[in-house]
Amino acid sequence: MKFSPQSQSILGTQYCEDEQDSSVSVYLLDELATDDQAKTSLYLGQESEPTRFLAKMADRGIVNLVQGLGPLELKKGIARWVRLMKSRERFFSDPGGVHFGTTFHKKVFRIQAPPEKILLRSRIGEVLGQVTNESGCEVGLTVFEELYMNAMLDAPREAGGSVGNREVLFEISWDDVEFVISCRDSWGSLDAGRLLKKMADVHARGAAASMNMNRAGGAGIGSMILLQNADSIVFGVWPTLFTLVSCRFARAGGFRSRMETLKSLCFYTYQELKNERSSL
Amino acid sequence: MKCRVSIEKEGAGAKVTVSGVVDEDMDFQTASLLGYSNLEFYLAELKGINSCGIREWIRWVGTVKDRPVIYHQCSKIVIDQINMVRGFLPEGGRVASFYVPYFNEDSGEEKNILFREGIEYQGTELRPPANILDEAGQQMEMDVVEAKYFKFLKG
Repeated sequence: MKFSPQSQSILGTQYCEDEQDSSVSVYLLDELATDDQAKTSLYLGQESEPTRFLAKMADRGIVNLVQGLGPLELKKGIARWVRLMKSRERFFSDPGGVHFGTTFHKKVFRIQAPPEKILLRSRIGEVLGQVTNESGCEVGLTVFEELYMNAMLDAPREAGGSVGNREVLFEISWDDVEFVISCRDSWGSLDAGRLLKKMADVHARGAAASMNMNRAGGAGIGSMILLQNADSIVFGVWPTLFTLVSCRFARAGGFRSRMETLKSLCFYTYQELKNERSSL
Repeated sequence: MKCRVSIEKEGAGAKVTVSGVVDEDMDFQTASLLGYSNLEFYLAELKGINSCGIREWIRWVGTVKDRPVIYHQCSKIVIDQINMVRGFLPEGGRVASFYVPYFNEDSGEEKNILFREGIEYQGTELRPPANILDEAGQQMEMDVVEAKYFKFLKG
């Protein structure tokens, strides 16, 4: 990785020298980088207000943002991101494995059609009840609801297909500290660039002004709800095959610490990246 | 956990109790709010609401127009929506009571405390209870970002 002088000043020179093993450039979110670098570079931030970091990301086409309160959190986030980038294809079949890297546990649930949702929600609630506390269950189930709607209802509509004829897969994975809820549809119709712009727009205008009141589509504020509740979100798209959205949470802690966590985001399209960069 | 709505006539008004999860399958057309002089919602058992559910809720309570609406026993989920989306509490509506999460970092214990209008808050002024203790008798702290959670009190 090639660290900008500003990012080196936060992470420490020694760390940056040790990590110089690929062509990826690392900048701070507030640094000015040219537009053609934005899609392949990693940006580091310490910005708590989603409106502000989303606007910067959308304006400059930034798709990789790792945030953390200090060098330790940032380095952990960078390590996670590097693991993801090295396993972009495997991520679609083993999100927990890519996220945690080593020892972890997981439960997988598959559903085909909306009538199965109530049972699925209850089973996911049971697993969350074993993995995290009350506030973790609440944020986890809130995120589950939005992931379900994206995968089961919005994805087929966007792909011109019909609801209920392709499998949706949910995975809950966890280690001692964190848990991850991942949802994979079998359409691969998400336009990551458009989603980022929409997220920025919804946050800038506010939920009420952005809400689609027409019953024929999603309400349009699901991405806002995801970002409010998850500590980090990865949107991976393998066009025409899969969209996988993976959200990370702390197992312990209350609502306040969850709200105050600095959010990290990553958007990637598998085929694009395969062509752009062969390795890190 | 399907959403259930019960509407009980109380004089010229109605007591509306909503429980479960409000989601994309919720059809509030079977729970008309028309014909009552005032509406009192009881929301302690509302356990979840997703983005489509929020939209349906706004359409539903939007039919109330200018009749008095009071929300009681709002769970955190309800307060989050009131703060996030204008219209979730209809214009001129009032929150008579709501839950505030408390947390003890050492024991990890979580608790919801009911704040009542006139007792734990009045207008924009908060009067939180002095001592909220966990089972071991340790002090618990309010587990919200106060500037965000109590935003709705400022109107």
